[in-house]
Amino acid sequence: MNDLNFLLDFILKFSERMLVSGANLERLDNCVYHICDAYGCQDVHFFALNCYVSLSMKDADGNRVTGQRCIWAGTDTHLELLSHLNQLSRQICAEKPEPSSLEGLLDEAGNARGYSQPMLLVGFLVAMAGLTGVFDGSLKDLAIILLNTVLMFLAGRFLRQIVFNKIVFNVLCAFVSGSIAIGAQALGLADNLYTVMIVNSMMLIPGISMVNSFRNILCGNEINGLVEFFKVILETMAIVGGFILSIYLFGGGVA
Amino acid sequence: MMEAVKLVICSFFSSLGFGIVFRMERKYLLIAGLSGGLTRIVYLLLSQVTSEMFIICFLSAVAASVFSEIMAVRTKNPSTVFIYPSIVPLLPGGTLYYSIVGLMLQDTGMVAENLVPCLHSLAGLSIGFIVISIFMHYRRRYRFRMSRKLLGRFVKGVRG
Repeated sequence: MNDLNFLLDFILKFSERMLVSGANLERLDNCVYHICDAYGCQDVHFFALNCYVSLSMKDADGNRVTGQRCIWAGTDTHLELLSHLNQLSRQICAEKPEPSSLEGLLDEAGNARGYSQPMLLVGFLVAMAGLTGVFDGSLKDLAIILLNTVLMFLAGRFLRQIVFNKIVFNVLCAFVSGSIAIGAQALGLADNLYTVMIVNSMMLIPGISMVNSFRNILCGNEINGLVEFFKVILETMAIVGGFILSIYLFGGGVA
Repeated sequence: MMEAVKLVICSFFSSLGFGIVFRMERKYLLIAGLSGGLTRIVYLLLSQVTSEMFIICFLSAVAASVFSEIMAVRTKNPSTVFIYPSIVPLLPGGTLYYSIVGLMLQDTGMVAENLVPCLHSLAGLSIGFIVISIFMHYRRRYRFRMSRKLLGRFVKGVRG
């Protein structure tokens, strides 16, 4: 492989990791064009969607390379990794390391410390407790919401091994969460069924994607924005579907 | 007043919690919580002045964005790192939920009642972020061009 091919390979992998860790398209565009500029690439054409990237560029001798990459993994927001990748792009622009060494640097940047699973669960519990206050839930509601959060977190870990589709995953999680909320209310353990359901649905609703999709539409990335927006609507419908299913099966008014 | 204090504290913790969920670096978690609290304060202050969701969400998003950009510059991180946790308290989860319930039950009244404020909030949030990010984008571009110009003059000067 020559230098240009190494660079192309690196940029495609870098783009995938940026998008999966939650970067927006403008940020990715910016990083890619700066890296290409640093290595003296010309006539650069970069196109990205959340599930696809394509890059075509020429070196100073006029040799052109083109590559594309499908991104099957959905967004799994990892802000520490995003920050490392951003720093890596700055470092590359400043130091211009050998193109053959870029992949090693990318792997190094990927070694983000992250959080252990129990710590992530604590994060969810703190977030849900805060949202319970925002939605004016009682202490009884809080207890059920936290119980549901633990169950959904554990179910998430288990189901992700089997169910790859986010829509099916959301239906199942919302159904279990809704059933527990209805049971808790029937036993007098929860005051407001809908506060429990709405707060727990915030754990599943792709809120960040929702804002990003609007932002993309308004920033000129209409295709990506529309695809993302419909994905958000489908995923939210799946959540509501799961809740409604539990209400139809176990009783209670619908809204 | 007590209600407002409770909301600010709850927003602080929800942003802090989502900071962990989004796997932010540990040293920035407090900033995540503060940004959520600040966003809620702006939201509550604006709610006293107007009931227009678009304006409230727009200006709250501008405040969250400015705070995130300042933190991003100071810590040399992408602003996304600080924006994500800060908008969590503003996300219109409740209205989106009821809109979809209305759609699924074909209850047009419920859809109209919830979908319009939901879209207003989303549009306000998105435009608020875009305004600041576009401003920062042009500011960076201007500084990048200026630095290149200065570098060019310096090289010319050295070559004599």
